[in-house]
Amino acid sequence: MKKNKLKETIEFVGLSYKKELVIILVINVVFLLAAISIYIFIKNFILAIIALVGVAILDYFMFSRYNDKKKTILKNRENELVSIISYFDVYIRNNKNVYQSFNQLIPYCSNWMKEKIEDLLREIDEDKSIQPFVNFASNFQNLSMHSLMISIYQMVDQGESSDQLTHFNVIFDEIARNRQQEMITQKDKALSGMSTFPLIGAGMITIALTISILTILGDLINVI
Amino acid sequence: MNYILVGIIVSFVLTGISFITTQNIFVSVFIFLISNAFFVFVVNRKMKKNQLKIHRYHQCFHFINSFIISLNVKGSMSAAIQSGYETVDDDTKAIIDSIKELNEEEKITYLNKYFKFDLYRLFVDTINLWNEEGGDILKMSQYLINQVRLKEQYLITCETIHRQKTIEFIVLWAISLAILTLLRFALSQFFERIRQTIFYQIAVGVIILFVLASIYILIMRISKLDLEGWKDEEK
Repeated sequence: MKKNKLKETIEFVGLSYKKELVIILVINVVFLLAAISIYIFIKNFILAIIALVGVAILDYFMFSRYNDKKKTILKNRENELVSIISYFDVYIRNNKNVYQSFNQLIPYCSNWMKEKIEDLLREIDEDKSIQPFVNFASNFQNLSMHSLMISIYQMVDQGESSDQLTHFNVIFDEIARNRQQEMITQKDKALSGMSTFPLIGAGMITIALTISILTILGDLINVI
Repeated sequence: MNYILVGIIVSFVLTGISFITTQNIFVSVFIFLISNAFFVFVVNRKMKKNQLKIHRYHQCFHFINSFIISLNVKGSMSAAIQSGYETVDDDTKAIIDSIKELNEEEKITYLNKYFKFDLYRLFVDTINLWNEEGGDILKMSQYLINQVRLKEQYLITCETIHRQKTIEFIVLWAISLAILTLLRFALSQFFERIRQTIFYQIAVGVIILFVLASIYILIMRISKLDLEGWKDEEK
């Protein structure tokens, strides 16, 4: 089950499952051989352990990067939806109906979104119920996207009256405001993280000086 | 801002630090060459592209705002273009001047090659719709103006964050590197023995390369701005 989930995640981010597993396997074998060689030929147990710990950390980062990448893709898709729905808002306000407005969005979309909107339009052609909108919303994890699509369906079902438009705008404004805030928070967080680099640098300076001093002291003790 | 000049000053500072701390001419020359190449070919290019993107969006924002307000007041496309023309910078004016022979609608459409943002495309669509069907342009473009303003606010907030965090980053690195430099004087004769070890010489080189790597990451994070439609390879 876990294996399938990993396979699913790797393929979701557009990578080959087999190729990725081979890369991870090769890295592990190389590190393992290095650790064994260090232990047998150099007789340094600590260095061998460091090599093993190193490969374990590397494995952790390699496996977690698929999930991180997946989360980024999903977030980008939601962000794209919010962007294009803001354009949808402009079209719907300018007397285009829901179908025409979605059609007008296609030039602004990524290939993935274009495909999903085309599917939505095709489904609307065949099925006038809420189902095409629910299917479209199921491509996104955020529940507010579902509310948004339902409010758009209500516009189709009950006409683009000012009440329906207001309902849609209340939901959309909330999502757009949250997204704007989220983008600014993300930017702030990403740049705040930059202050750790000088701290790591200070740590590196301390380690370099400590090792140098200890080396010299060791030499002095040997001489004595 | 002249990024090349700033880059050269920073690379002189880094070279100075490496020379003071290692007194090794080879390490210092290596740091000088690497940091200069890094600032001239990487930082300068990346920052210029980023500045261009932000500047172009500000111009686009001013143009759209003035255009719509003027179109609403005067009801004429040529007066609206003239009003937009007056609010933009010389580079944008030169672009508008170069398309004098086109009619108003063509001018607006042509400018999409210059303002390569999705919001500008939406603006063109709205103007085309107004041309075809008429109506109250202010009402028609109310949501477009809201979106354009939201994006402008986002950019202004990001620019403030960039400034604050860059200053923080520079101050912290200055303190860390000052510790390294001052230890050279504080440890006095003992330092002479330390600097003769190969490990220390390599470590100083690695620390300075780490400074450059962190500057690169900072620039990548700064230039990551969400402006739909614009691609970083745009000129």
